[in-house]
Amino acid sequence: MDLNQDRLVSMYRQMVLIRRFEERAADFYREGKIGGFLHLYIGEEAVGVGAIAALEPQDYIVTHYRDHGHALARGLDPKRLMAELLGRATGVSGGKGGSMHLADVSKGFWGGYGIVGGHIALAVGLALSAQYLDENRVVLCIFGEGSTNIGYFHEALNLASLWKLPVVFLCENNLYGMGTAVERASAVPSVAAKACAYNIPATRIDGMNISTVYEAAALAVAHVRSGQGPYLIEAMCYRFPGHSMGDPERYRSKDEVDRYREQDPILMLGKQLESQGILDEGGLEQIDHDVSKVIEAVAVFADQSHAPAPEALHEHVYAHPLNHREGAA
Amino acid sequence: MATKIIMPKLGFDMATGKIVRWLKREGDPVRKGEPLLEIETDKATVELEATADGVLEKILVGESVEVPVGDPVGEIVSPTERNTGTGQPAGKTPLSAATGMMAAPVAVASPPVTAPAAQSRLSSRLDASPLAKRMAAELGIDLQRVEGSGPGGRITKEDIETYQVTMKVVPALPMATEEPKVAGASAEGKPLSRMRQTIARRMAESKGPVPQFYLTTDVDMAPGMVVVNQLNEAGKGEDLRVSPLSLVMRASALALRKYPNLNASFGGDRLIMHDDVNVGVAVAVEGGLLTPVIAHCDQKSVAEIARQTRAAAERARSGKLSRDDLTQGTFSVSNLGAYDIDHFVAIVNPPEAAIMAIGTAREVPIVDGGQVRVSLRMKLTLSADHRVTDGAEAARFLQEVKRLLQSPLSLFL
Amino acid sequence: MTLITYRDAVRDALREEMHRDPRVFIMGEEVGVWGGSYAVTQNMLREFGDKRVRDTPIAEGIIVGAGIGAAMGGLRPVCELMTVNFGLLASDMLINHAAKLHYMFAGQVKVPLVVRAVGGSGRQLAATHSQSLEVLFAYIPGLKVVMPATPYDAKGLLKAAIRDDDPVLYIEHSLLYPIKGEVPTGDYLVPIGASDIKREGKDVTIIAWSRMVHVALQAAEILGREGISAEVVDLRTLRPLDMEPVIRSFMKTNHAIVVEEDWRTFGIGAEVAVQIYEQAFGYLDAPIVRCAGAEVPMPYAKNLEALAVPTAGDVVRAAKELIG
Repeated sequence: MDLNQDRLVSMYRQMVLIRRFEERAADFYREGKIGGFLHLYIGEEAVGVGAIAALEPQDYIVTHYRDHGHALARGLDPKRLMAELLGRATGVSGGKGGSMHLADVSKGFWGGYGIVGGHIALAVGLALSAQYLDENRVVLCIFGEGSTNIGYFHEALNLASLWKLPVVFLCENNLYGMGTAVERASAVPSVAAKACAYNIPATRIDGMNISTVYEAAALAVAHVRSGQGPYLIEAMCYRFPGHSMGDPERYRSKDEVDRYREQDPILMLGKQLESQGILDEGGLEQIDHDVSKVIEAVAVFADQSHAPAPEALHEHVYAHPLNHREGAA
Repeated sequence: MATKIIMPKLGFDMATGKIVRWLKREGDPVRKGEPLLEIETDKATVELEATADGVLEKILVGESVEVPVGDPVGEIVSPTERNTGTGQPAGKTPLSAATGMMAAPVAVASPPVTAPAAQSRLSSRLDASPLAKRMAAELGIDLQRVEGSGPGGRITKEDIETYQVTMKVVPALPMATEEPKVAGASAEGKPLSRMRQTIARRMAESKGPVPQFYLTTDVDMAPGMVVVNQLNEAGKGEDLRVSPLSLVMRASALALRKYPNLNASFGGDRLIMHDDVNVGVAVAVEGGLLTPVIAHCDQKSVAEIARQTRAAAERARSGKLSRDDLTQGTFSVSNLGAYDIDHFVAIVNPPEAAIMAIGTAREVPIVDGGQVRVSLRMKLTLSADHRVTDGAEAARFLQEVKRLLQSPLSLFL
Repeated sequence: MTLITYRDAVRDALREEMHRDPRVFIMGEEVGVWGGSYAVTQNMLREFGDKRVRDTPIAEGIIVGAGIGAAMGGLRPVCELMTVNFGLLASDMLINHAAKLHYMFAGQVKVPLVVRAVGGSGRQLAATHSQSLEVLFAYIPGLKVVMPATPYDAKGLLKAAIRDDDPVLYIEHSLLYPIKGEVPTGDYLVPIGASDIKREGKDVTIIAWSRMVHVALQAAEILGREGISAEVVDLRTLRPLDMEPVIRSFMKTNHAIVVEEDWRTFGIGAEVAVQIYEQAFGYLDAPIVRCAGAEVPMPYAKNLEALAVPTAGDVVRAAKELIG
């Protein structure tokens, strides 16, 4: 399952877009324009971009709260994503979800979720609907290794396997659940090994290498789409910034971060593109330049968008406005 | 600890009081028991005494202003607090910290006749259900006049309905919707005094909703006058002044014992029977009429009744009546004997069931055994609430009063 | 009209809706082979097959979680939790997920999910299996909570819940399953969010839901013989709470008693009472009274259990004190 040259360039471009988006988001956060938590995806771009590239348009994605990269990789409008981060009416979730709760159902992107592990159960349910309705959809469920010690993970894998549901479990193992190293939290530090307990095929891969991620995801998706039940990928990766803005990072050394930065997936794919003669340095710079232009426009759009109207406060609590006396006996 | 001076409730139907004048100024030192201010109620002008030593820190309500019962009108702060500045700022005094004492009301320039025990504002609060309050407001009913039958005496919807039936309440009459234009009358008119307002309201409440009937009898007062004169002679030393009024009060009280239905109040679906026989005496005063009550007339001697009536009348005329003087009446008498009135009809004083009107005792020719002779006669007219009693019963009551007066020694049994 | 049990009414609603709409399916503990722990889904596996009547592992989190996901994906799942007590294991799914998604994603996601659970006491199941936890869920905007008291309401409300586009917690009471009532033969719905007058009266309004409606009706019967005319309002739905019939009734009677199997402190009755205070303060002729469950974990012993739950006698006593 080779990636053609155009595909590689496109994935490179997506990773740069994510990187610049996240950097601009961090600036907005420092400016006080983004509230709450802000979890950046910098360093892990290869996992999301590579895996999502293996999906078809009808497939579904359910992810955790470090979700900006996944949304961008799925092709959600960066302007509306940034606007959501700024809590504006033009945001993908109307300014009501924020950074952790990005969604665009029209693109099969069913949302980022803030309760660690909870969305794994929802993903299994979406897979159930796909199977029940015979829709040829695969659900990609992305979660961190930190959520694999929660009951939901085990309940979800068990049911998915039992009912052979079409779900790819993609674990982004960035080695730390917030500040707790995986060895300090999991008796079995290998998430792939946990999948064995539920009779789910699993693989552990280098998540910093986008080609590796893409190939593993493509295999997994094919397996799942063929009706053989779920598949689990454990992608080893590393986030370069802290868990969220303002993380004191006492749990890891600067040296460790620097060592992983040498494996920066963007740097590595750039080198690959250069060495394979697909793009020269100028070509890479051009992409960077183009993306920066896009991000500038994204920032202007988001910043100039209006806050939600006060009436939005009471909208969407229920699917239909409550008019419960209607038809009462 | 700041002590609030609160507008006290001085009568069962007192809802507001008007501040006549402050006798102290802000910053003046005051001693417990010292008069602080004068207030005017429906009934009288009374002085309020300080209930604590200290300094009159604040006058919250100025002169000529009407204040609802229970509202603070001023504040006394102890001198130490004032100096150290630990006194709570006005308005921020937590309820639990403030003593919330009422100034003790006393009759002007006399030792305290009645000093009601200091009451907290909360305990004096009228207990009525929200529904009852709303109904009362809509119907123009003064809740102070309604008896509560709920837990702890709470006034409920049923009590309002009962009251409504009793009093056939029409939304409280606005005094005059259209001012009558009289040639030569001054444009502003003369504002009614509080007492005049009360009289107007209560008399209207009586004549309007209370169906009254009237019985008149003629009493031979010759034997009674003998007794009156003898008593006055005997009591010369103490300036005892017994009058036919005293005899009628005593006679009425004894007759009420025998005919308890007339010592009752109409309670809608029942009669409220009163245990005590307390007779109110209408006293003409400057600008109106007051009805001080002589309690337990059935248990008091004629002389005692005479003494108390005289004292009460004096207090009434000097505006010194206390709360006890004015409440708890169960029957009234109105005496126009001194005004050369043969006979008149008085208006029942609700919630009482009857009132006795006493005319002038005079010598008239009567036919007795075919002979015309001179007799000392006095006309008594009983007005009674027809919802409570009927003609025959009232007539028997009146007969009993007459019998007692005509054999006056029975008044001393 | 036919006379059927509450259990049959629930089953008929499920069956009719499953025949009507192929997206409707059942999943939960013992719903298939066993036929439902309270025999509600008896024979339904045979009728509909294992795609639509799905036995699950005992894992409430995933039962409700997968239900939410399936509902998001276009299905109309009816998840059975056996008892509402076990619903606590799924409370994160109900509260943090089902109730939030439509709002958090600005209307992009709908969760047409029904969660059925048995609540209440009366079968000597002791502390962890006898609770009335409706208040926990009725507290949450985004959820709907219904608790029918009669076969008619059970069927009509369940059908309405299945057709509703929002997550509905449908709580049955195990003691109600054998009770019988008239139910129309054809299709009908009982609207969610509509309280119902179950008996008319003029002296006191008794407010109840689920099994306590029957306690209230029994009390009203006794009171009627003693000259006190009680009106019984069945809330039927706890969220959205329909106070209109309650307020209208209260404005007539000026007295209210809430009969609740749940605990008094912070219970549903507190909410009902305060809404009466807010909306009909000027009609209060006496404080509102609550007849509520004893504030103890439910004991096992039969006599103690009986003492912990309001009875018609309690309601009668309360009414007499109230009316005086």
